[in-house]
Amino acid sequence: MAPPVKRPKVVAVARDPDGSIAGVVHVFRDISEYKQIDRMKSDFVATVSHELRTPLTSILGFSKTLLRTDARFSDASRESFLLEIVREGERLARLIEDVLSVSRIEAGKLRLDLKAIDVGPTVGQVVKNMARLTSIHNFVINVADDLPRVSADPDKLYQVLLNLVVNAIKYSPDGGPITVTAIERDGRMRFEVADQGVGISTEHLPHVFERFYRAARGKGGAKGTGLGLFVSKSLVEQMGGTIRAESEVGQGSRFFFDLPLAPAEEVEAEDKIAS
Amino acid sequence: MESSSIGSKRILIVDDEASLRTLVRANLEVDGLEVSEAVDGIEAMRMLAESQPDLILLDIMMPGKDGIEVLEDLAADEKLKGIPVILLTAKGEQEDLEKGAALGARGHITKPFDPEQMVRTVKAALGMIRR
Repeated sequence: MAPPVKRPKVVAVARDPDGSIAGVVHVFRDISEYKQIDRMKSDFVATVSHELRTPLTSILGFSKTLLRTDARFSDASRESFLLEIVREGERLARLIEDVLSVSRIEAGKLRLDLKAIDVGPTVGQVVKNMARLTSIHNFVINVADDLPRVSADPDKLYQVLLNLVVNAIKYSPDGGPITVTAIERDGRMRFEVADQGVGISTEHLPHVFERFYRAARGKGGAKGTGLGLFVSKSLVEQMGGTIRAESEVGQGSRFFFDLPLAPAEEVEAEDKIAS
Repeated sequence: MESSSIGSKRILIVDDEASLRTLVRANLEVDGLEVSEAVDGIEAMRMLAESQPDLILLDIMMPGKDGIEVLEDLAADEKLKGIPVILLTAKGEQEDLEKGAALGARGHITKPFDPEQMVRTVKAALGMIRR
């Protein structure tokens, strides 16, 4: 973040050698960008507190519902309340993870623990955890068994895939398929998360990876903190990859990123540790 | 349970959070109240044009048309202005609460709320129990 501009306007007097005033120099700095970032930051604080309170209201509310002594709920109802508690608790955990990641990224203190990893189990874990939380989406996994390993931080790769899948769910409010693909292409691993939801307009698409940016799309309008994609982009880039998005309004969105394959000696070292 | 003595009072919950609507619905239904849901102010107004509930639980902070705008629409509509409204608010929305009260809201419930207390507030507003 750029430092705040303390003196947007500076006035200097230019004098002749004899001391008389020859002219005045006015220097103006355009601070509209700083002002905008400032505004986005205070929006962000309001958004984060709303985003924290919302899952908390559900977690506390459903827990207290289960503890109501004056009402009896069926086993099926009780189970659905527990599922809501889990769902909202995980949302809270993701939010905290993203906020922490942003501060680490900004401080240049993001640490990566790069390993040679199989992508299949990571993709499977993300889909398994998310599939529990929605009944209107169906998940398609396109990952071949014999893919080479990638060089990535397993937790960060999980976080990126999770963010993309959460977005795919959020922006396809009427349900539908969500496809997660990993294929080897040009000596790298290419990941793709695709939905058939509301899509992103050409006006918003170039900005979706910007910090705090939220496109007012979908039934509920702007949702979330505007951090998920910013964090995902930073994480992918730190791991040596690139991320981008394609979308058409009403047709859905596709997010892609690629990561380097693990070098052979790293794979051997991992195998040695494993055995 | 007291559901049999309650009859079928109808409540409309307006909130953009699915989980919160489910929470309110579960707690009111177990007490024998009938619940319908709207995801935002726009859907709420559409539903209200078709049929009128006995009470509206209305979130303030919603995209599209927020709770205050809904209250304004209700106040301007002969058919709807008598329906009691209870606001669902977060702490720190004092200004909105005052605006809401001025527009005729009967009360408010602050998130996070105790579901049992929420049910009591709703029933009291419906005149089903004493406050």
